[in-house]
Amino acid sequence: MTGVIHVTVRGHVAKYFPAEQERFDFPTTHSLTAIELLRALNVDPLLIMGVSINGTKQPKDAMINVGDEVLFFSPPAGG
Amino acid sequence: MNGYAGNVLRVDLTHRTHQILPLPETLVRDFIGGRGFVAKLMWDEIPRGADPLGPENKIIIAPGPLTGAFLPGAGKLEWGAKSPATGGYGDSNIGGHIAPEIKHAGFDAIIIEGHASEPVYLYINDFDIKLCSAAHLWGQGALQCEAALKAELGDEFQICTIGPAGENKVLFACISHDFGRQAGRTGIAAVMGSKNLKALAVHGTKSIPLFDPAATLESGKEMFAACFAKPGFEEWTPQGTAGVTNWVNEVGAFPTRNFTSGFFTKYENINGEALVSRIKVTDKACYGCPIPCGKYSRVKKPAYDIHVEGPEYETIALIGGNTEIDNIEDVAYANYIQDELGLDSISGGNVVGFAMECFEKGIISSEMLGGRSLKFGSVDDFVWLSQEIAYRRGIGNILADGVKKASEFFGQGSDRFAIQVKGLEWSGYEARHAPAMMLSYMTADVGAHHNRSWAITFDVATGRDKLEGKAKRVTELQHIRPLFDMLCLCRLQWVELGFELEWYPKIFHAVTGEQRSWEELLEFSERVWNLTRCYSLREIPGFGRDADYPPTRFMEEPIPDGPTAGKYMPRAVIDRLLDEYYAIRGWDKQGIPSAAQLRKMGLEFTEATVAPLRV
Repeated sequence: MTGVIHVTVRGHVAKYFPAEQERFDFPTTHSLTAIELLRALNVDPLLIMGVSINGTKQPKDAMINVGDEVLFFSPPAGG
Repeated sequence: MNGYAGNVLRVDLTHRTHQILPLPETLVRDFIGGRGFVAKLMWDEIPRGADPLGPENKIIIAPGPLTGAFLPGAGKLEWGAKSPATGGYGDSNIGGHIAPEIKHAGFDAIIIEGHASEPVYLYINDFDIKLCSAAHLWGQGALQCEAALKAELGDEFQICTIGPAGENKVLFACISHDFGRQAGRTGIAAVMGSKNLKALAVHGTKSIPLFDPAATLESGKEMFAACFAKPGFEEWTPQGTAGVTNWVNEVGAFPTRNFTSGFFTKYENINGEALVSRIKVTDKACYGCPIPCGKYSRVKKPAYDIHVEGPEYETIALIGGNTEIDNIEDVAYANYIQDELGLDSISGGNVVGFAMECFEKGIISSEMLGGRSLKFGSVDDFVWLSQEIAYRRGIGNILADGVKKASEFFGQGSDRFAIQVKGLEWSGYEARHAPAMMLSYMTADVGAHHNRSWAITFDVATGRDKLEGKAKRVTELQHIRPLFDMLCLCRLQWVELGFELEWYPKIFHAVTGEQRSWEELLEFSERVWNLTRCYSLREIPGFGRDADYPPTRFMEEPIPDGPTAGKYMPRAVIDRLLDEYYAIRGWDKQGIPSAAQLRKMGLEFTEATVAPLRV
């Protein structure tokens, strides 16, 4: 099945994603983990603090399916 | 001048007088506000060679041109003084609600000088200004004192206080406000204590002139809407800065056991999830903030029942990992104790961790502690030592001067693991495998503080073994982040939400009428960065390259475990980073700005002071 994963990046690390975009679609024919998705985007998985898939926080090795909404979180600084 | 109240308040504690002076247009034109005002007024006002804890030192307090305007995060206040911790340039900023109150009272800067013969607090109610006796407040905790003054003056007053640590001139004492916000770094609370100044109470009702009120309101609305529309907005708030605890451990940068390691095996017991599920009561925001990072918590045990704002990430790192206190309840309790004593919990956790390692190595003996022990992981030991430090009792009197001076006292190689730069204790990121973050700490103008350049994600994104581009990025961040401190804005909207920097010139124009691009505003920030360097060069004999090195531990001892096991940053790498950084800055090999650079920055007035220092 050909389709897309809807990707959103929250915070300052968006500038390290392709085209420095906060929101984009990733075309894929198959499911993959968040780590695999990040590597496919040429982003070090360590750069991301957390992952949410379809509104639920998940570990980075959780599986993402075609059509899913993925949100990557930047690490916060401060305190 | 639009965006400014138009006045400077000068308070002479010695003679119990004050003056309201017009805000100099040249100060506004060249230094914008906040940190810019602090740096320039420190240069002009504080006599060269002043004793930081003597009457000739001055405290400069400054909001910024955007303070009090309707936009996200416009509630920051900048404090400055010659730092008793470093002997050089010192500043620290605070959130909460007092900055707009000062502006509405009619002031863009407050200069406090001299020495009060007895404890006082400074009362400001618009132009009704007086020094009131603080005899009944002296000795109170910082939070307790704020509550007492609120009860005395009314909730409409915004209060800053110091605790016993400030009264006793502990060099890492902090200024407290809003029951848990602190201007924690560089020891300005000790300067307050040295002046017998216990608190500042402010209420203001005046208007602030705006260049275009309608555009200011409209831009503000758009900025709030843009914040709310940012992806993941809802997910940011629940844990606040504590949410980064897992990630810092994952990348092996979590201060552990006095920075021996970068990974704390028990981090899941002190992280954001633990905070939210076990102790958090509610969220707490500063003035005009749509993303409340403050967490108000309660811990109830048989021995105590405390409320505390936090713990924030930095406190979790320095009190938690760095002293190996391994549960969020005890971290919160130790946080509360240091807040009430008026100790900066970053330096506070760092100093206690240093002392625990000294004890473990036999450098501090049981006899020196009156027969007791000082062990990693013990909250009882942590609390006991915090109190000894705040009241300068016994060993606490030595540690109250910070790890650099304490290590000079103890000797026996303890300087290797006194984790500081320039005399300021290192904050919450172990950087042996993060060159940009390491350089950030090394070259921060106030000492080892993260807020001038938080570059660790840049390290991860661009490769932690690569040095290329690191000095350039640190330099850029050292202009961007301190610009927020000149405008007196919180930078978390930008970092946490990815809020676009392009918004700020737009609202700056609406408020002040000055049409400046972001890049032009950064040039002001670079000017201030060079000025603060010149200030420390002027005040600290021999200041320069040697002051920019990290502790020996980071250059010679490999991290023993965790994701960064085996990593350290040899001196040759440190030297390369420094050489590149100085070259980008237009400074010589000793870290001294060239005459051409000072001219370029519009700092010709510093040249006569700096020229004799060049080799």
